[in-house]
Amino acid sequence: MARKTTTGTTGGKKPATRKRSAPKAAAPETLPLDLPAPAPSAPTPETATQEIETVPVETQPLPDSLGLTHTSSPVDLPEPAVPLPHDGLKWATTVMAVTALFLLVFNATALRGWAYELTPTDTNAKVVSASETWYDLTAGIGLNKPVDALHHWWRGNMNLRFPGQEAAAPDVRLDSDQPGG
Amino acid sequence: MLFPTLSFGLFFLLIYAATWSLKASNEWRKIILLVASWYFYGAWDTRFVALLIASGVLNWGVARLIVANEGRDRARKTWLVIGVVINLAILGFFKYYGFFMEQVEHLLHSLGWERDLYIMQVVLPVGISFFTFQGMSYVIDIYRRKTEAASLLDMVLLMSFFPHLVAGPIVRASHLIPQFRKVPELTRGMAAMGLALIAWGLFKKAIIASELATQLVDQTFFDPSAQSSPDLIAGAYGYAVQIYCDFSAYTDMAVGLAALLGYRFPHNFNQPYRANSLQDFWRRWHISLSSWLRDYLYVSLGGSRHGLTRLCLALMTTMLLGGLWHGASWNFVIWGALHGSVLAIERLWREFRPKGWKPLPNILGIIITFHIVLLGWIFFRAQSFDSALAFIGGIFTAGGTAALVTPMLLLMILVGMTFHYAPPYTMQRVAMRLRSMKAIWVGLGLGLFILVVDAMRPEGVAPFIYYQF
Repeated sequence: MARKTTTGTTGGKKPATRKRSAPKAAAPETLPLDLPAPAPSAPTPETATQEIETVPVETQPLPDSLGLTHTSSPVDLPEPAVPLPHDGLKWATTVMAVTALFLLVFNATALRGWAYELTPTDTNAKVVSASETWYDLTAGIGLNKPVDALHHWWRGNMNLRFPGQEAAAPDVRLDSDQPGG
Repeated sequence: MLFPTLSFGLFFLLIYAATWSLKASNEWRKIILLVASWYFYGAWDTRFVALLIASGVLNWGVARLIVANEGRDRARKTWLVIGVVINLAILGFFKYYGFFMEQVEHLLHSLGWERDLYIMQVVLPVGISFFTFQGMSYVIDIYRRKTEAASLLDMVLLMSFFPHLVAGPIVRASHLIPQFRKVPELTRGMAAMGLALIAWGLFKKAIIASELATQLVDQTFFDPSAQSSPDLIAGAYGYAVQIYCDFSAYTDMAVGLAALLGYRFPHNFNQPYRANSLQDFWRRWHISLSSWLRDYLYVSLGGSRHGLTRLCLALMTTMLLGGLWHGASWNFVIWGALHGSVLAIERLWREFRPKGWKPLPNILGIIITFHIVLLGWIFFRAQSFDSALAFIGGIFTAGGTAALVTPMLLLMILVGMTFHYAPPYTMQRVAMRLRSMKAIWVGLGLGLFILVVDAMRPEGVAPFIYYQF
């Protein structure tokens, strides 16, 4: 029999009965490594299995105003007040498709860098050629400019030094036109 | 194949499409996942795919024999011992053979033996500590009647499933096998949380952990005697933030990827540097390992059943072996000994604290605990015991001015620490907001987030720290 754990989002009281302003801290996910001694009234466990099963389950926090509480997995969320459509797969697929398309358009540099890292073969040569063509096309209309500008700005910040420190070495990626750079 | 790479992204999209299009047949879905997991593992070294399969078959077979001998306690125990010994032998050979032989050689040399021993160079299979522990826990749980016997396919998939294969979390059979038995369903909530965890893990790994590693930590630990005190101090704090951002990022991505395939993994981190005692730290750091050590080692060593002395010995042994689990090195032993000693001292203090003495204020407990953990990390990260001592000594004696630590690196250390003080369930709140939004907006937002991370990250992607374990 499995050790007791809490699952789901139900607590002993309804969320509505709790104060909204004071969500309690998340409870530890597991029992302590250093097991507390059994309560005086409890029988002393004789075996390992008994010990695991007689360890007191920690008090779990009641759900907060959003219904959030300790669960056995971080991906368990409370049910929404207004039921959502049962289209999780379609929703997730659309999200990933839009993300992929967005990155394909605005981050052709990464695609080109990846293509150049492939093992050189006839097939991969075609992948490299296609990624080059795509890169040239997107760069031609300036779609790579936002990411390049952000990269320059960020590396500039990373190169900041405290007064008296030696200046940073030049970043090869800043002025490079190398694939993946 | 590392998670934050385009190669893995394309691999995952393919598996996502294949598994969900085979929703009608759970068996075929699992077969696809199994083959994909072997391909993923083979990307490191194809030779060890056979080891992974053999380990899965072995644990499945031993468990079946334990079940088949129901009612015959001696036979059940014999098969349990055989299963555990074989698992430990596999782990011991690949992970500790070289270390053990080197120690024997040192001993022989100190006794006057002048010839060198022939020591084979054994390549360490990635993730062997994780999948071996997973297999052992299944066999022990079967023996303890805490889980039901799994089919061969489910058992091999449990050990091979690619999101957790190389660096955990250590997902137990009782958690994942019941999920494998039915076709999973992907809810908007699971998908939103999965995507949020993947994006957050990407940020922590690609920006914070990678920058701190390459610009500060690697250099300070490479030659501590050449560094100034401020750089060594920043290096120590930097490593504490780096290892958290690196390992928790892997876990976040693993949990997120599994969620997108319809499976729920357990928690593995819970703001560990917020702990106000070391006992509390181990409830928050690498939870799947600490609970494994508790259930299968600490309890088996007697736990709290035989008085305080045995309890302290059990704690110390558990942490020493927990240290060795990370690798064959005296530094890991020292790291384990430090944690074991402090856990025992905490326990004794709770037992014998004079009446009327109040417990430490919470903030003081947090500061002290964090710095004990920090001291442990120096031994954990240093290349040798001497190097760790040089690092610690240099903090107090090297003097000088900061040459490596920069304003942005300092900011990253602070940002990494503030993650531990975010309100509870922050990520869940984000996911709850996302799931009620239109997919197209979430997709654009996610794309923008990844674009920003990609623009900010340093060149290349370093392997996750826990891949070496």
